[in-house]
Amino acid sequence: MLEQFSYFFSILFGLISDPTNLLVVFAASFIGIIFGAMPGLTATLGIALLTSLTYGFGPNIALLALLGLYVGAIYGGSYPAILINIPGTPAAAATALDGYPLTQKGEGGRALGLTTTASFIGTIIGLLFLVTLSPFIASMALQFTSWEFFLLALFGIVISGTLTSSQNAIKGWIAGLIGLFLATIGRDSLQYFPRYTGGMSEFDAGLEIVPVLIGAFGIPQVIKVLSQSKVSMTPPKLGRILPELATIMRNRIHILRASTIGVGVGSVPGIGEDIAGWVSYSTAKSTSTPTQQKEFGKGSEAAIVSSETANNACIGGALIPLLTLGIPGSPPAAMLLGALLLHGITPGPSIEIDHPNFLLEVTAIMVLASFAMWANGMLLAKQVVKLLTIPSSLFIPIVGVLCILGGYALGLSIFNLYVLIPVGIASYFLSELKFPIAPMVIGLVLGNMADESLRRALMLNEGSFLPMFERPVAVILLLVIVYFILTQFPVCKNITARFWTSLRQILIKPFARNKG
Amino acid sequence: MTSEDKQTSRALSMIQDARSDFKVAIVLLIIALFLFFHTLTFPMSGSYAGVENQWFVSPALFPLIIISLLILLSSILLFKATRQKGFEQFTQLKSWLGDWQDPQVVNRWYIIWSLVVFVYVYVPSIDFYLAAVLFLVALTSRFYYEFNQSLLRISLIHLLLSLCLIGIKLFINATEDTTWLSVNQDTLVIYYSDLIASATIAILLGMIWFTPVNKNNKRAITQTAVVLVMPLFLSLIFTFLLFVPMPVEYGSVSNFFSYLIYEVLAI
Repeated sequence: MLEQFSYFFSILFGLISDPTNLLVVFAASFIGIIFGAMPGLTATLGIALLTSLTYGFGPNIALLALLGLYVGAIYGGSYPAILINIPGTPAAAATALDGYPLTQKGEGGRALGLTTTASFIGTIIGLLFLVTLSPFIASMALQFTSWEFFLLALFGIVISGTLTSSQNAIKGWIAGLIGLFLATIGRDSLQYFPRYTGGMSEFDAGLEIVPVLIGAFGIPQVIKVLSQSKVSMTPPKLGRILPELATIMRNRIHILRASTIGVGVGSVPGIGEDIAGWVSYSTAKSTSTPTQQKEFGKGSEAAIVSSETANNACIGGALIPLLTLGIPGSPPAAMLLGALLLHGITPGPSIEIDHPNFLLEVTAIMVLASFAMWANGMLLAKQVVKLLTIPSSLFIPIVGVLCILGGYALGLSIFNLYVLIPVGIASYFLSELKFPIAPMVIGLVLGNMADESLRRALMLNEGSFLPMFERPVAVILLLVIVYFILTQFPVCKNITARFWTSLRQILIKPFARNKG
Repeated sequence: MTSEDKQTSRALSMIQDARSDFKVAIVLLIIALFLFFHTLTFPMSGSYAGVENQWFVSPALFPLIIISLLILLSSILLFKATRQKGFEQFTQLKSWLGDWQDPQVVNRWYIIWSLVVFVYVYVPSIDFYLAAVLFLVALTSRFYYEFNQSLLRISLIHLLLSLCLIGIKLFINATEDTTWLSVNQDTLVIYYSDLIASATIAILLGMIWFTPVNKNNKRAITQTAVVLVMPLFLSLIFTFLLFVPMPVEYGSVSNFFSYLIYEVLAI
C-alpha cells in the first residue's frame, strides 16, 4: 500500500515537473469548460473531437488532454445553468434550479465559486473510490468466465435502456439492440465470415467505433441546435469568485452523500452525470429539514453543492467499470474507451497486467485535471462567460466541420464519413422520437464482447447453457437483468413501487423528522 | 396553464408519441424481418471454410438472437401504439416528413441536405478548405440572418454545383473504377472542380453582401471572416501540425500552402 502511494506521488511529480504536461492539462481543462459552458456542445462531443486532435500524440499526452477536458466539461455546464438558466450540459440541469435564483439575487459569482469547489471535491472523492475499488473489482473480474462477460454486456444494455428511457423502457432496449446489431457488421472473429458487409471490403473490419460515436453524438447536436430558434444570451455581471470554503464546510454531509450517489450512478453502465445530478438533488431535498426544503428552488446552497458534487463524482464512478471491465459507465466514458482503444490500450480485467500501474497513472492525471479545473474556474471564469455571447448559429456549423474532419482523420478513410452521416442522421431521428442514444452506443461498444463471449462459453460447454447457473456472479447478473425486465410490466411495477415507498418511509422519514 | 390545458397537452403528446411509435415499429419490423431472413443464409451447422460447424459457433447465432429480440420488442411497441390509435395519419406524407409550414422542419431538412452534399459531394471532389467554406456559408447564411426568402435560391445553387462536380468527376479523365463517390485524384479534375467551387463561393458571399434583406454590414463582415478564416485554420492544423492529409490531397489551397511552407519558407 505504502509502495503504491509513493509510486502515485512519483507519477504525480513526474507529471507536474514537465511544463508540457501542465500546459496540455490546463489548456484541455479550459477547452473542456468552454465545451461544457456552450449550450449545444457536450463533454462527449468534446472528447470525440479531441480524440482526433490527440491521435498523433503519445498515450500519456492524449490521456492528459482527454481527462482534462472530461473533468472541465462536466463542471463547465454549470456556467450557463447558473448565469442564464440554460444548462450547458444535461449534467448541469439540476444546478440551474437553484443556481439561477442566486444570480437573480446578484450572487452569480458566489454560486460559481461554490460549484467550482464542489466539483473539485466531487472529482477527488470519485477518484478515491476509483483507486480503492478498481483493483478489487479487477481482481474479481479476472475470475470471470465468458458467461459473466456475456451477461455483463446484456446487463449494460438492459440497465442503461431502462434508466435512460423512463417513460418506455422498450425504446431504450430497442436502441441497445440496434447498437448490438451494428457491432455484428463485419467479419466475425471466430470463422471470419462476412456479416452484413454488402460485399464492401471497407466493412470487413466492422464499424470504426470513434467515427460512429462522433456521428451518434455530434451530428444530432448540430441538427438539433441549429434547427431550434436562436437564443440570445446576455450574461449578468459576476462579481468576485471565491472558493466558498465556509459554505462547503456547512454542507459537508450533503457533499459526502452526493459523492457516494455520483460514484454509484456513474458505475452503472450507460447512465451518466445528468442522472447523478438529479438523483443527488432529490435526495438532498428529501433528507433536508422542512425549513431547508423551502429554500430548494430559490437558491439553496445545499442543492447546488449536491448536484455539482454528484455530477463530477460520477466521472470517477464511470471510470470504474470502464477500466476494470471494459464497460463504459457513461456516454463520455464510452467515447474515452474509443480513444483508449485507438492508443492501443484495452481496458478490462487484465489492464494492470498489460499496462502495470495504469490505474495509478489515470488517478494522478485526474488529480492534476481536477486542480487545473479548479484553478481555471477561479481565475478564468470571466473569460468563459464572455464566450457565452458568441451566437450558436456561428459556432455550431464550425463544430459540424470539426466532426467531419475528426471522423475522417481517425483512420484517414473517407468511408468513415460515408458511415458517420447516416449514423448521425438516424441518431437524430431516433432521439427526436424519444429513443435514447446512450444504450445504442453501449450496445455498439459491447457487441463484440457479447458475441464472442456467448459463442466461446457455448463452445467450452458443448452447446449447454446449464454451466451458467453454476456461477454465482452469473446468477446474480441474470437475476438483476430479469428484475429490470419484469419491473417494466405494470403488475410488477406496482408491487416494486409499493415496496420501495415503504422502504423509504422506514429508512428516511424518521431521519428527516429527527433533524427537523 | 390550467390543469385542463395540461391534461389536453398531455393527451396530445401521447397521441403524437403513439403515431411516431407506430411508424418506427413498422419500419423496424420490416428491416428486422429482412435481416432475419438474410441471416438464415449464414453458415449454420454445415461446414464453412473447411471447418465442420456446430450451431453454437455459427456466425448467425448472435445476430439471430438480437434480431429475434428486435422483432419481439418492435411487435410490443406496435401493439401498444395500435391500442392508442397510432395508425392514424400513417399514410400521410406530412406525418413522415413533418409540416413544411413549420420553420423548424424546414431548418432540419436544410441542415440534413447541407450535411449530405458536404460529405458525399464536396469533400471527395474539391479541396477541403473550399468544401468547408461552402458548408459554412450554407449554414451560417441560413441561421445568422433572416434569410428565408433566398433559401430555395441557395439550395438550387448548391444542387447545380453538386451536379457540375459529379459531372466533371464522371466525364473528365474518368477511369473504370470512378464512381460519383470516388475521391478525386486527377489534378486536372481537381483544378476544374476547385475553380467552379471558388466561383460559387464568390456568388454566395456576394448574395450575402448585396442582398436587400441584409442591412447589417457588421454581421456580414463577421460571417465572412468566420467562414473564410476558420476552415483555413482547421485545415492548416490538421495538415501541417497533425500530418493528416486532406481527402483531396492535391487541392488548390492545400497545394498552395504546401508550396509556401515547404518550398518558400522551407520549414
